[in-house]
Amino acid sequence: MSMKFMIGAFAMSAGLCVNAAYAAEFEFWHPFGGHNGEVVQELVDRFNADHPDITVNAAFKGGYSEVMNGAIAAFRAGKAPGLMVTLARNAPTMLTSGAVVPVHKLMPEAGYDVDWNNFIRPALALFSDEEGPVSLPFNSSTPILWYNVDAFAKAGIEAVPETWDEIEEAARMIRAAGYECGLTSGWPHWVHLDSYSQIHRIEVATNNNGMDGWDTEFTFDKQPGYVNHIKRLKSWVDEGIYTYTGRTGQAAGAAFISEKCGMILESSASYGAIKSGATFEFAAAYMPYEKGTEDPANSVIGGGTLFVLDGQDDETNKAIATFLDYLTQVPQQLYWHKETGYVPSSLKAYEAAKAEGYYDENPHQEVAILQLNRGGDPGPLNRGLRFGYASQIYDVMSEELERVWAGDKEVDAALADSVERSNAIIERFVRSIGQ
Amino acid sequence: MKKRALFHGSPLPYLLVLPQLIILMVFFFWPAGQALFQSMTISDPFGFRVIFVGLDNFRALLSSSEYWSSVRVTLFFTVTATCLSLVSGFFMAVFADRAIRARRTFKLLLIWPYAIAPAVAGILWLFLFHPIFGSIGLFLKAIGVPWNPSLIGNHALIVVILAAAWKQFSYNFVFFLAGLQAIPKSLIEAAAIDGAGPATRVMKIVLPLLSPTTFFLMVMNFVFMFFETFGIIHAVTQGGPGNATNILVYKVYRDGFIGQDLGSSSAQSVLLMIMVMALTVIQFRYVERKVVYA
Repeated sequence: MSMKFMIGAFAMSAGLCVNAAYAAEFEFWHPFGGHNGEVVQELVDRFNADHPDITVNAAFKGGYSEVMNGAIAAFRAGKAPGLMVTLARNAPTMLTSGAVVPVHKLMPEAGYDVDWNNFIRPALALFSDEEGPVSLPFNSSTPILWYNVDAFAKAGIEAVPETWDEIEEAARMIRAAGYECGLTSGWPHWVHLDSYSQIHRIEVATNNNGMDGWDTEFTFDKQPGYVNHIKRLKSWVDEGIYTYTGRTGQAAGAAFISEKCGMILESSASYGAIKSGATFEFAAAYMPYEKGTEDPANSVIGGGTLFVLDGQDDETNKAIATFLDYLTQVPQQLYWHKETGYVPSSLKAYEAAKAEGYYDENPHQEVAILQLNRGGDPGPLNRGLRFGYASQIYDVMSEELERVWAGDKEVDAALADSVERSNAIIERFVRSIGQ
Repeated sequence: MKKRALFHGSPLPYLLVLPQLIILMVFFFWPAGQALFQSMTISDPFGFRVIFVGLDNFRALLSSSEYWSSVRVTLFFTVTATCLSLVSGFFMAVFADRAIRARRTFKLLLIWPYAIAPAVAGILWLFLFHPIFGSIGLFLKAIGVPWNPSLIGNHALIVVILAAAWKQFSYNFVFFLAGLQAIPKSLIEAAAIDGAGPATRVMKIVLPLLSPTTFFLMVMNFVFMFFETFGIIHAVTQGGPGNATNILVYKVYRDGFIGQDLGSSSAQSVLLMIMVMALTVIQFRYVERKVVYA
């Protein structure tokens, strides 16, 4: 008894000593609830078990904006989490904040030699500055076309639509087959502005869509390609073959799962929800492009990315680097990809999944990756879009387009107002970063 | 003649109000001061750069059509929802007061909505009026109304007004009922003997005697509609569609906490504070004159 006790006490004090000497601990704030939250926790638990000297405390903080606001408040109070997930479109706030340790600096300093060419390009480009990647892509997704195979059969659609003209025809046939809506989309601006313009290499804003400078001006109201696309959507809304289901993906997904809509343009990461909800056969295909486009380019990514916040000591930063390195390795990437439906950030993980035949059984999981890597090295107009105060800008754009769908405003006027109001917001952002 | 109570040189009264003063300082004056300062700056969210811009934030707001549309929506929303919940609260109280059987049960049932969080109230009404699976929404579509609150601004506004009015209705009901029960029966009976019908009795006797209650409730309802309806808006419409339900307090949240534009958001809260203060002053100066404190 006393012997046991002594051994125990000895072991404990030895453990304490080890901890005192090397232990590093940091907070990891993320917006993943439900199943994805369990997957993140599992990754963290495995890491903690493998690294007795490091403790990662993962915390589910609510939505992306709760993570952001929580981290900002904590940072101002000097208690910032080491690692946080930020919504891709809010990356500019982080990139210009001066509160971030860039991963291109963190990783080499901790002795990790990262092969950045191994990452999915549209993701990495969005989070890089002149010196290299600032943030580590984590949960990336992209909009793709999900369609109801049974509805296609019922409507007599033989080939999967590839162009917008074919989509129109298919949507009309689905309506004729008795469905309430032919087509809808989640996150309308991500789909109809961001991805549409990237795929067709359209300039939405100056400075190559904001990628080469924060001081941008929007130009999409003067781009015939985009303007015509919106006018066409309006005519579809009036005809009843396109249904507007709100600013997020929730209602769009529900409309698809409940067999109201035969096709949706939605995030590749909605796979999990569709799989668990759909009682029909479904499949996925590329986002449509305009007839006559020779080589449609890559689409834009969405989802979140990992930022390391400044203010930790070197030892902790090293531990964070170790954790990031762990997350980018193939087994973790594969697990994340298969469980959540997000695309793997590393090409090696993609190849590994392909080699083990994962995509033979889950072809829809491959569509997003192929679409993101389509067209080789991205040119100046399809490297992504980056705008300060993006949340407000997308709100403004949504408002203006909602007025168009409701018939309160003409397309040209709405787009012109949208540009004017968005430019004023960008101006405020540029002032806020002292440029 | 005024009554005066004088405490000569004793620190006791100051000590007694100190806790209240501290609470006011910490939770009101300090944040309000911060907001006032921030409203005159443009800053990055992490607080590295704070640029003093004077009244630029206010100028930008007052010259933006979007802000004014938000002001209009807020006033319309507040006035409509307040009237709706006051009137319905009053009539329900009159009926509950006259009910002979199951009076307690009626009262209890009518007080229930007050125990529900605004966000939950919003969700309930959203479900009822949802165009795809809501029972009222489906009914409206069946009788030929092109009902779609997710796209048509006025429809969304109707849903949030109903939700807010319903949520606040119970509060008004309780106060009106208490007020009614405090009216001496003899007054009502005397009027009845003089030949006044039920409607006349309500209009000529009950309403004037309830005017202090009504006034109090009006002020409380205004404040509720201005600030506490945040949960309803957040749960039901998030300010959309278009800008149709973007009431001021929600816009403060959206620009500040989602958009990270702290300067503009603070300027908006300062304006909101001024507006509510002005409204309360107006209510006390002009409406209160019509109040009879029996």
